[in-house]
Amino acid sequence: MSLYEQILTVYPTLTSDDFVPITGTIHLQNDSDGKGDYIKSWNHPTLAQPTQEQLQATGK
Amino acid sequence: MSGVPYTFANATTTIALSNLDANFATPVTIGNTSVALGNTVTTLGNVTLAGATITSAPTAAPCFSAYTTSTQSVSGGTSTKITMASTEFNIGTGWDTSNSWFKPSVAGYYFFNGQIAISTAQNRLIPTIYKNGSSFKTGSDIGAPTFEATTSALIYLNGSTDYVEFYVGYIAVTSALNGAGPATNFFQGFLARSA
Repeated sequence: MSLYEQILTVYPTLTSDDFVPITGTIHLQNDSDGKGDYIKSWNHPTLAQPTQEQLQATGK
Repeated sequence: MSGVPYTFANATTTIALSNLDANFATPVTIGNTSVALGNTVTTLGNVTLAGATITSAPTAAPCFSAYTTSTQSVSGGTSTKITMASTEFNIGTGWDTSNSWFKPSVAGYYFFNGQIAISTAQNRLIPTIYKNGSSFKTGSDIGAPTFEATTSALIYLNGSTDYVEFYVGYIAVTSALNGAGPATNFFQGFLARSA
């Protein structure tokens, strides 16, 4: 399960608009440097950035 | 070559281009100073050149066309940098094949064009140009199922520290680039105007 899918599991109300570059409030990024996907910025007005525990729990 | 050097102070004088050599190297006296225009940077002030053809050495203008050499996975909802390790051409060596970014040594306004092709049809597919590590210009936000999208932009680069990269800014479903080679996934740019 990708980071994007984990976040959507934690917050099902999020839509694709929330993740669109520049205009979205959540920015996931992968710099193709072997380090994988990560949350570059989280500026959602009402939902808090999920904790590592919340993300890991989605895979159980 | 008769009539040269010309001597004038406050008068307006027209020098026929035919009286100058091909490199404007014929000595000309302006005021009390003798200058050769040739390859010397000279500030003259209030000088009008009529009928002159200015050549800006276009062969020195950076340009590149980079492309993917292998398929690459791209995660849904994530901005993924596209790795481009080969070039069709790389004038001025601004494209860094190790880091997949363009960092030219000439300041100016650069025009970029890029295309991404995904192996799975996407309801949203947004190519994005990054400048100095941050998303800077987004491309067409395709709303219907599609496999390909393009983007273009005119961006100023300072010729020393500024650089640009090409990302898949957003795709709806985790997938992979569709094939490799200069015809499918590419990023190109050229100097449109020097600073």
